[in-house]
Amino acid sequence: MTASETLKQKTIFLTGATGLLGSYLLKTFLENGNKVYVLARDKDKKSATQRVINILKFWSGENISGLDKLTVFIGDISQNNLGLNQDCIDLLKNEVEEIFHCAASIQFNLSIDDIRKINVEGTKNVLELALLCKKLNKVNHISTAYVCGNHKGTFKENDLDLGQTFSTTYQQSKFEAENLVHEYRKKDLWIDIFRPPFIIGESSTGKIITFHAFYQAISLWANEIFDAFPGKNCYINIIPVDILTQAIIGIAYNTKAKNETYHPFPIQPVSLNEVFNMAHSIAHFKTKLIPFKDFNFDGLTAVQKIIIKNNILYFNEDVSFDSTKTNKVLRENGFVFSKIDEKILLNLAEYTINKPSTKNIKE
Amino acid sequence: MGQYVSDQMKADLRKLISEISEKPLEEVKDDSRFAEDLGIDSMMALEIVASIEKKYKTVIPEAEIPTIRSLNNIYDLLNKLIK
Repeated sequence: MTASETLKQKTIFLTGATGLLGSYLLKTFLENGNKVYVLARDKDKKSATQRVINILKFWSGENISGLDKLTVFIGDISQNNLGLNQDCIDLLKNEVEEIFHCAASIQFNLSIDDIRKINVEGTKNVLELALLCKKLNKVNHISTAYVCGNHKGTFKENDLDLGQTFSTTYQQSKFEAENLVHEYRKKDLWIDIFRPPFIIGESSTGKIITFHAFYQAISLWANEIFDAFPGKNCYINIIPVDILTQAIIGIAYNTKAKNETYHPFPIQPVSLNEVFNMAHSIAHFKTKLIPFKDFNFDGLTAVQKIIIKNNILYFNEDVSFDSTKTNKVLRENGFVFSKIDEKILLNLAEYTINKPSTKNIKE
Repeated sequence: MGQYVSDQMKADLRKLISEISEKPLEEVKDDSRFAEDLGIDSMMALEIVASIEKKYKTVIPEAEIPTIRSLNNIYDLLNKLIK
Protein backbone atom coordinates (compact mmCIF):
# COMPACT_ATOMS: atom_id res chain seq x y z
CA MET A 1 0.00 0.00 0.00
CA THR A 2 1.46 3.41 -0.92
CA ALA A 3 1.63 6.31 1.49
CA SER A 4 -1.16 8.16 -0.32
CA GLU A 5 -3.44 5.11 -0.21
CA THR A 6 -2.83 4.92 3.52
CA LEU A 7 -3.81 8.54 4.07
CA LYS A 8 -6.94 8.13 1.98
CA GLN A 9 -8.27 5.88 4.71
CA LYS A 10 -7.49 8.32 7.45
CA THR A 11 -10.08 10.23 9.44
CA ILE A 12 -9.58 13.96 9.18
CA PHE A 13 -10.60 16.88 11.37
CA LEU A 14 -10.79 20.14 9.40
CA THR A 15 -11.30 23.71 10.64
CA GLY A 16 -12.18 26.59 8.34
CA ALA A 17 -14.38 24.43 6.11
CA THR A 18 -16.39 27.41 4.88
CA GLY A 19 -13.30 29.38 3.88
CA LEU A 20 -11.61 29.36 0.49
CA LEU A 21 -8.84 26.84 1.05
CA GLY A 22 -10.70 24.86 3.72
CA SER A 23 -13.70 24.29 1.48
CA TYR A 24 -11.54 23.17 -1.44
CA LEU A 25 -9.60 20.80 0.80
CA LEU A 26 -12.90 19.43 2.11
CA LYS A 27 -14.21 18.87 -1.41
CA THR A 28 -11.00 17.00 -2.28
CA PHE A 29 -10.91 14.92 0.91
CA LEU A 30 -14.49 13.79 0.30
CA GLU A 31 -13.69 12.95 -3.33
CA ASN A 32 -10.70 10.96 -2.11
CA GLY A 33 -12.87 8.95 0.26
CA ASN A 34 -11.67 10.35 3.59
CA LYS A 35 -13.97 10.41 6.58
CA VAL A 36 -14.06 14.07 7.58
CA TYR A 37 -15.20 15.93 10.70
CA VAL A 38 -15.45 19.67 10.21
CA LEU A 39 -15.95 22.53 12.61
CA ALA A 40 -18.17 25.38 11.45
CA ARG A 41 -20.22 28.17 12.95
CA ASP A 42 -23.88 29.01 12.49
CA LYS A 43 -23.81 32.41 10.79
CA ASP A 44 -26.15 34.88 9.14
CA LYS A 45 -29.21 32.81 10.08
CA LYS A 46 -27.73 29.76 8.37
CA SER A 47 -26.79 26.58 10.13
CA ALA A 48 -23.19 25.39 10.11
CA THR A 49 -24.23 22.34 8.09
CA GLN A 50 -26.09 24.40 5.51
CA ARG A 51 -23.10 26.71 5.09
CA VAL A 52 -20.78 23.76 4.51
CA ILE A 53 -23.17 22.13 2.04
CA ASN A 54 -23.70 25.42 0.19
CA ILE A 55 -20.02 25.91 -0.34
CA LEU A 56 -19.52 22.32 -1.49
CA LYS A 57 -22.33 22.91 -4.00
CA PHE A 58 -20.61 26.10 -5.14
CA TRP A 59 -17.53 24.08 -6.11
CA SER A 60 -19.12 20.83 -7.25
CA GLY A 61 -22.73 21.55 -8.26
CA GLU A 62 -25.47 19.27 -6.99
CA ASN A 63 -23.37 16.10 -7.14
CA ILE A 64 -21.19 16.33 -4.07
CA SER A 65 -18.96 13.31 -3.54
CA GLY A 66 -18.60 11.55 -0.23
CA LEU A 67 -21.28 13.41 1.72
CA ASP A 68 -22.01 10.26 3.73
CA LYS A 69 -18.50 10.54 5.18
CA LEU A 70 -18.93 14.14 6.33
CA THR A 71 -19.90 15.20 9.85
CA VAL A 72 -20.34 18.90 10.66
CA PHE A 73 -19.86 20.00 14.27
CA ILE A 74 -21.18 23.38 15.31
CA GLY A 75 -18.35 25.08 17.10
CA ASP A 76 -15.95 27.98 17.20
CA ILE A 77 -12.15 27.78 17.33
CA SER A 78 -11.95 30.83 19.56
CA GLN A 79 -13.77 29.05 22.39
CA ASN A 80 -12.43 26.58 24.91
CA ASN A 81 -12.73 23.03 23.59
CA LEU A 82 -13.66 24.70 20.27
CA GLY A 83 -17.16 25.24 21.67
CA LEU A 84 -17.81 21.48 21.49
CA ASN A 85 -19.50 19.31 24.10
CA GLN A 86 -17.70 16.41 25.72
CA ASP A 87 -19.32 13.79 23.46
CA CYS A 88 -17.97 15.52 20.35
CA ILE A 89 -14.54 15.93 21.94
CA ASP A 90 -14.49 12.23 22.88
CA LEU A 91 -15.42 11.24 19.34
CA LEU A 92 -12.64 13.36 17.85
CA LYS A 93 -10.20 12.17 20.50
CA ASN A 94 -10.82 8.55 19.60
CA GLU A 95 -11.05 8.83 15.83
CA VAL A 96 -9.04 11.70 14.35
CA GLU A 97 -5.78 10.78 12.64
CA GLU A 98 -4.98 13.95 10.74
CA ILE A 99 -5.87 17.59 11.49
CA PHE A 100 -5.97 20.40 8.93
CA HIS A 101 -6.26 23.74 10.67
CA CYS A 102 -7.38 26.32 8.10
CA ALA A 103 -9.70 28.50 10.19
CA ALA A 104 -8.48 32.07 10.54
CA SER A 105 -9.65 35.62 10.24
CA ILE A 106 -8.14 37.18 7.13
CA GLN A 107 -9.37 40.69 7.93
CA PHE A 108 -6.44 43.08 7.90
CA ASN A 109 -7.52 45.68 10.37
CA LEU A 110 -9.22 44.00 13.28
CA SER A 111 -7.76 45.05 16.61
CA ILE A 112 -4.84 42.87 17.64
CA ASP A 113 -6.86 41.56 20.62
CA ASP A 114 -9.81 40.56 18.43
CA ILE A 115 -7.73 38.84 15.76
CA ARG A 116 -5.54 37.08 18.35
CA LYS A 117 -8.65 35.40 19.77
CA ILE A 118 -9.25 33.73 16.41
CA ASN A 119 -5.81 33.26 14.89
CA VAL A 120 -3.67 32.62 17.98
CA GLU A 121 -6.05 31.42 20.70
CA GLY A 122 -7.94 29.48 18.03
CA THR A 123 -4.75 27.71 17.00
CA LYS A 124 -4.00 26.97 20.66
CA ASN A 125 -7.46 25.43 21.10
CA VAL A 126 -6.96 23.22 18.04
CA LEU A 127 -3.51 22.13 19.22
CA GLU A 128 -4.89 21.35 22.70
CA LEU A 129 -7.40 19.04 21.04
CA ALA A 130 -4.56 17.53 19.00
CA LEU A 131 -2.75 16.62 22.23
CA LEU A 132 -5.78 14.55 23.26
CA CYS A 133 -6.16 12.64 19.98
CA LYS A 134 -5.06 9.07 20.51
CA LYS A 135 -4.55 8.09 16.88
CA LEU A 136 -3.18 11.41 15.62
CA ASN A 137 -0.51 11.29 12.93
CA LYS A 138 0.05 15.03 12.46
CA VAL A 139 -1.42 18.51 12.38
CA ASN A 140 -1.24 20.52 9.16
CA HIS A 141 -1.29 24.19 10.14
CA ILE A 142 -2.21 26.64 7.41
CA SER A 143 -0.29 29.85 7.87
CA THR A 144 0.58 32.52 5.32
CA ALA A 145 3.69 33.62 3.46
CA TYR A 146 2.99 37.09 4.84
CA VAL A 147 4.36 36.15 8.25
CA CYS A 148 7.44 37.68 6.59
CA GLY A 149 5.98 41.09 7.54
CA ASN A 150 8.13 43.93 6.28
CA HIS A 151 11.24 41.79 5.92
CA LYS A 152 13.50 42.88 3.11
CA GLY A 153 15.28 40.17 1.12
CA THR A 154 14.73 36.45 0.77
CA PHE A 155 12.33 34.69 3.11
CA LYS A 156 12.89 30.94 3.25
CA GLU A 157 10.78 28.07 4.50
CA ASN A 158 12.84 27.73 7.68
CA ASP A 159 12.81 31.47 8.42
CA LEU A 160 10.35 32.91 10.88
CA ASP A 161 11.57 35.58 13.27
CA LEU A 162 14.00 37.76 11.35
CA GLY A 163 13.17 40.86 13.38
CA GLN A 164 10.43 41.89 10.94
CA THR A 165 7.66 44.32 11.81
CA PHE A 166 4.06 44.06 10.59
CA SER A 167 1.80 46.49 8.82
CA THR A 168 -1.36 44.52 9.59
CA THR A 169 -2.66 42.74 12.67
CA TYR A 170 -3.44 39.81 10.38
CA GLN A 171 0.25 39.24 9.62
CA GLN A 172 1.24 39.70 13.23
CA SER A 173 -1.38 37.23 14.50
CA LYS A 174 -0.35 34.57 11.96
CA PHE A 175 3.30 35.09 12.96
CA GLU A 176 2.35 34.63 16.62
CA ALA A 177 0.38 31.49 15.72
CA GLU A 178 3.49 30.02 14.09
CA ASN A 179 5.51 30.74 17.22
CA LEU A 180 2.84 28.88 19.16
CA VAL A 181 3.17 25.93 16.77
CA HIS A 182 6.88 25.79 17.61
CA GLU A 183 5.95 25.56 21.32
CA TYR A 184 3.56 22.70 20.69
CA ARG A 185 6.09 20.84 18.58
CA LYS A 186 8.07 20.53 21.80
CA LYS A 187 5.09 18.70 23.32
CA ASP A 188 5.72 15.84 20.93
CA LEU A 189 3.15 16.87 18.35
CA TRP A 190 4.04 16.55 14.66
CA ILE A 191 2.93 19.84 13.13
CA ASP A 192 3.74 20.85 9.57
CA ILE A 193 3.22 24.45 8.53
CA PHE A 194 2.02 25.49 5.08
CA ARG A 195 2.45 29.12 4.07
CA PRO A 196 0.40 29.96 0.97
CA PRO A 197 0.88 33.35 -0.65
CA PHE A 198 -2.25 35.11 -1.93
CA ILE A 199 -4.78 32.43 -2.92
CA ILE A 200 -6.74 33.02 -6.11
CA GLY A 201 -9.74 31.19 -7.57
CA GLU A 202 -9.93 27.81 -9.25
CA SER A 203 -7.51 27.68 -12.17
CA SER A 204 -9.90 26.28 -14.79
CA THR A 205 -12.88 28.54 -14.00
CA GLY A 206 -11.59 31.51 -11.98
CA LYS A 207 -14.28 30.73 -9.38
CA ILE A 208 -13.70 32.37 -5.99
CA ILE A 209 -15.95 32.85 -2.96
CA THR A 210 -14.98 36.35 -1.83
CA PHE A 211 -13.26 39.21 -3.56
CA HIS A 212 -10.68 40.34 -1.03
CA ALA A 213 -7.40 42.23 -1.22
CA PHE A 214 -5.76 41.34 -4.52
CA TYR A 215 -9.22 40.95 -6.07
CA GLN A 216 -10.14 44.31 -4.69
CA ALA A 217 -7.22 45.80 -6.61
CA ILE A 218 -8.67 44.44 -9.85
CA SER A 219 -12.07 45.83 -8.92
CA LEU A 220 -10.51 49.22 -8.11
CA TRP A 221 -8.87 49.29 -11.56
CA ALA A 222 -12.08 48.26 -13.29
CA ASN A 223 -14.06 50.96 -11.47
CA GLU A 224 -11.37 53.58 -12.17
CA ILE A 225 -11.17 54.57 -8.50
CA PHE A 226 -7.54 55.57 -9.04
CA ASP A 227 -6.12 57.36 -12.06
CA ALA A 228 -2.86 55.55 -11.44
CA PHE A 229 -2.14 52.49 -9.32
CA PRO A 230 1.29 51.50 -8.00
CA GLY A 231 2.94 48.18 -8.83
CA LYS A 232 4.25 48.31 -12.39
CA ASN A 233 7.13 45.87 -12.90
CA CYS A 234 6.39 44.23 -9.53
CA TYR A 235 6.07 40.51 -9.09
CA ILE A 236 3.57 38.77 -6.85
CA ASN A 237 3.19 35.25 -5.57
CA ILE A 238 -0.28 33.91 -6.20
CA ILE A 239 -1.60 30.37 -6.31
CA PRO A 240 -4.95 29.04 -7.54
CA VAL A 241 -6.87 27.28 -4.77
CA ASP A 242 -7.09 23.95 -6.63
CA ILE A 243 -3.35 23.80 -7.35
CA LEU A 244 -2.58 24.78 -3.76
CA THR A 245 -4.88 22.01 -2.53
CA GLN A 246 -3.08 19.46 -4.71
CA ALA A 247 0.29 20.64 -3.39
CA ILE A 248 -0.74 20.56 0.28
CA ILE A 249 -2.33 17.15 -0.07
CA GLY A 250 0.65 15.97 -2.12
CA ILE A 251 2.90 16.73 0.82
CA ALA A 252 0.51 15.87 3.66
CA TYR A 253 -0.38 12.46 2.17
CA ASN A 254 3.22 11.46 1.52
CA THR A 255 5.66 13.17 3.83
CA LYS A 256 7.70 11.38 6.43
CA ALA A 257 9.78 14.40 7.45
CA LYS A 258 8.43 15.81 10.70
CA ASN A 259 7.80 19.41 11.75
CA GLU A 260 8.59 21.02 8.43
CA THR A 261 7.46 24.36 7.03
CA TYR A 262 6.46 24.57 3.38
CA HIS A 263 6.02 27.34 0.81
CA PRO A 264 3.50 25.64 -1.49
CA PHE A 265 3.79 27.81 -4.58
CA PRO A 266 5.89 28.01 -7.75
CA ILE A 267 9.44 29.34 -7.53
CA GLN A 268 8.69 32.03 -10.12
CA PRO A 269 6.26 34.78 -9.10
CA VAL A 270 3.80 36.35 -11.52
CA SER A 271 4.27 39.75 -13.09
CA LEU A 272 1.67 42.25 -11.91
CA ASN A 273 1.87 43.84 -15.38
CA GLU A 274 0.52 40.59 -16.81
CA VAL A 275 -2.42 40.51 -14.37
CA PHE A 276 -3.13 44.16 -15.07
CA ASN A 277 -3.04 43.66 -18.84
CA MET A 278 -5.43 40.71 -18.63
CA ALA A 279 -7.89 42.74 -16.56
CA HIS A 280 -7.50 45.65 -18.96
CA SER A 281 -8.21 43.45 -21.96
CA ILE A 282 -11.62 42.68 -20.43
CA ALA A 283 -12.68 45.92 -18.78
CA HIS A 284 -10.78 48.55 -20.84
CA PHE A 285 -10.43 50.89 -17.85
CA LYS A 286 -8.50 54.14 -17.85
CA THR A 287 -6.47 53.44 -14.69
CA LYS A 288 -2.73 53.18 -15.41
CA LEU A 289 -0.29 50.89 -13.64
CA ILE A 290 2.79 52.86 -12.68
CA PRO A 291 6.03 52.09 -10.79
CA PHE A 292 6.00 52.71 -7.04
CA LYS A 293 8.65 55.40 -7.39
CA ASP A 294 6.37 57.45 -9.65
CA PHE A 295 3.30 57.06 -7.43
CA ASN A 296 2.13 60.26 -5.74
CA PHE A 297 0.94 59.00 -2.37
CA ASP A 298 0.50 62.54 -1.01
CA GLY A 299 -2.03 63.36 -3.72
CA LEU A 300 -4.50 60.74 -2.51
CA THR A 301 -7.61 61.27 -0.41
CA ALA A 302 -7.65 59.77 3.10
CA VAL A 303 -9.64 56.73 2.04
CA GLN A 304 -7.45 56.10 -1.01
CA LYS A 305 -4.39 56.13 1.25
CA ILE A 306 -5.94 53.54 3.57
CA ILE A 307 -6.83 51.34 0.60
CA ILE A 308 -3.32 51.46 -0.84
CA LYS A 309 -1.73 50.83 2.55
CA ASN A 310 -3.87 47.74 2.95
CA ASN A 311 -3.11 46.43 -0.49
CA ILE A 312 0.53 47.26 -0.71
CA LEU A 313 1.76 44.15 1.02
CA TYR A 314 0.81 42.05 -1.96
CA PHE A 315 3.01 44.09 -4.19
CA ASN A 316 5.90 44.34 -1.74
CA GLU A 317 9.01 44.59 -3.84
CA ASP A 318 11.32 44.12 -0.90
CA VAL A 319 10.73 40.47 -0.17
CA SER A 320 11.18 37.40 -2.31
CA PHE A 321 9.91 34.07 -1.12
CA ASP A 322 12.10 31.03 -1.51
CA SER A 323 10.05 27.90 -2.19
CA THR A 324 12.92 25.71 -3.42
CA LYS A 325 12.65 23.13 -0.64
CA THR A 326 8.90 22.68 -1.08
CA ASN A 327 9.22 22.38 -4.85
CA LYS A 328 11.91 19.71 -4.38
CA VAL A 329 9.76 17.71 -1.95
CA LEU A 330 6.81 17.93 -4.34
CA ARG A 331 8.92 16.87 -7.32
CA GLU A 332 10.06 13.78 -5.40
CA ASN A 333 6.37 12.94 -5.02
CA GLY A 334 5.70 13.43 -8.70
CA PHE A 335 4.09 16.87 -8.45
CA VAL A 336 5.24 19.90 -10.40
CA PHE A 337 3.40 23.24 -10.21
CA SER A 338 1.70 24.13 -13.46
CA LYS A 339 2.65 27.57 -14.69
CA ILE A 340 0.27 30.38 -13.76
CA ASP A 341 -0.23 31.21 -17.39
CA GLU A 342 -2.32 33.68 -19.38
CA LYS A 343 -5.32 31.38 -19.39
CA ILE A 344 -5.44 31.23 -15.58
CA LEU A 345 -4.95 34.99 -15.27
CA LEU A 346 -7.67 35.59 -17.83
CA ASN A 347 -10.08 33.36 -15.89
CA LEU A 348 -9.22 35.25 -12.72
CA ALA A 349 -9.72 38.69 -14.29
CA GLU A 350 -12.91 37.68 -16.10
CA TYR A 351 -14.50 36.19 -12.99
CA THR A 352 -13.56 39.21 -10.88
CA ILE A 353 -14.82 41.80 -13.31
CA ASN A 354 -18.03 40.00 -14.15
CA LYS A 355 -18.50 39.07 -10.46
CA PRO A 356 -20.97 36.23 -10.90
CA SER A 357 -23.28 36.08 -7.94
CA THR A 358 -21.97 34.21 -4.94
CA LYS A 359 -25.48 34.46 -3.52
CA ASN A 360 -25.89 30.71 -3.24
CA ILE A 361 -23.07 30.40 -0.70
CA LYS A 362 -24.17 33.43 1.25
CA GLU A 363 -27.78 32.44 1.70
CA MET B 1 -28.91 71.36 6.13
CA GLY B 2 -30.07 71.20 2.50
CA GLN B 3 -31.25 68.00 0.82
CA TYR B 4 -28.88 67.50 -2.08
CA VAL B 5 -29.24 63.74 -2.39
CA SER B 6 -31.88 63.14 -5.04
CA ASP B 7 -33.95 59.99 -5.47
CA GLN B 8 -31.79 59.09 -8.48
CA MET B 9 -28.64 59.43 -6.36
CA LYS B 10 -30.22 57.24 -3.70
CA ALA B 11 -31.02 54.59 -6.31
CA ASP B 12 -27.44 54.75 -7.67
CA LEU B 13 -25.99 54.45 -4.18
CA ARG B 14 -28.17 51.46 -3.35
CA LYS B 15 -26.95 49.78 -6.54
CA LEU B 16 -23.34 50.51 -5.60
CA ILE B 17 -23.79 48.98 -2.14
CA SER B 18 -25.54 45.97 -3.66
CA GLU B 19 -22.65 45.41 -6.10
CA ILE B 20 -19.87 45.76 -3.55
CA SER B 21 -21.63 43.75 -0.84
CA GLU B 22 -22.77 41.14 -3.41
CA LYS B 23 -26.23 41.31 -1.84
CA PRO B 24 -29.42 41.49 -3.95
CA LEU B 25 -30.74 45.02 -4.42
CA GLU B 26 -33.95 44.25 -2.54
CA GLU B 27 -31.95 43.43 0.60
CA VAL B 28 -30.23 46.82 0.57
CA LYS B 29 -32.43 49.22 2.55
CA ASP B 30 -31.68 52.77 3.62
CA ASP B 31 -31.31 51.65 7.21
CA SER B 32 -29.56 48.28 6.61
CA ARG B 33 -26.47 48.17 8.80
CA PHE B 34 -23.46 47.58 6.56
CA ALA B 35 -21.56 45.19 8.81
CA GLU B 36 -24.37 43.42 10.65
CA ASP B 37 -27.06 43.20 7.94
CA LEU B 38 -25.09 43.22 4.69
CA GLY B 39 -21.84 41.52 5.71
CA ILE B 40 -19.78 44.47 4.50
CA ASP B 41 -16.24 44.20 5.89
CA SER B 42 -13.85 47.06 6.46
CA MET B 43 -12.17 46.77 3.05
CA MET B 44 -15.52 46.72 1.24
CA ALA B 45 -16.53 49.79 3.23
CA LEU B 46 -13.40 51.58 2.06
CA GLU B 47 -14.18 50.64 -1.53
CA ILE B 48 -17.66 52.10 -1.08
CA VAL B 49 -16.25 55.36 0.28
CA ALA B 50 -13.67 55.62 -2.52
CA SER B 51 -16.36 54.92 -5.13
CA ILE B 52 -18.57 57.67 -3.70
CA GLU B 53 -15.67 60.14 -3.79
CA LYS B 54 -15.02 59.29 -7.41
CA LYS B 55 -18.67 59.31 -8.48
CA TYR B 56 -19.62 62.57 -6.79
CA LYS B 57 -16.23 64.27 -7.13
CA THR B 58 -16.00 64.90 -3.41
CA VAL B 59 -13.48 64.17 -0.68
CA ILE B 60 -14.69 62.43 2.45
CA PRO B 61 -12.70 63.54 5.50
CA GLU B 62 -10.89 60.75 7.37
CA ALA B 63 -12.84 61.47 10.57
CA GLU B 64 -16.13 60.77 8.73
CA ILE B 65 -15.09 57.36 7.37
CA PRO B 66 -15.96 55.37 10.54
CA THR B 67 -19.37 57.07 10.75
CA ILE B 68 -20.50 55.50 7.47
CA ARG B 69 -22.47 52.48 8.63
CA SER B 70 -25.60 52.62 6.51
CA LEU B 71 -27.05 54.24 3.40
CA ASN B 72 -28.78 56.80 5.62
CA ASN B 73 -25.36 57.80 6.97
CA ILE B 74 -24.14 58.27 3.38
CA TYR B 75 -27.12 60.45 2.45
CA ASP B 76 -26.54 62.64 5.54
CA LEU B 77 -22.85 62.93 4.80
CA LEU B 78 -23.36 63.84 1.15
CA ASN B 79 -26.00 66.40 2.12
CA LYS B 80 -23.37 67.93 4.39
CA LEU B 81 -20.49 67.75 1.88
CA ILE B 82 -22.10 68.59 -1.47
CA LYS B 83 -23.21 72.17 -1.23
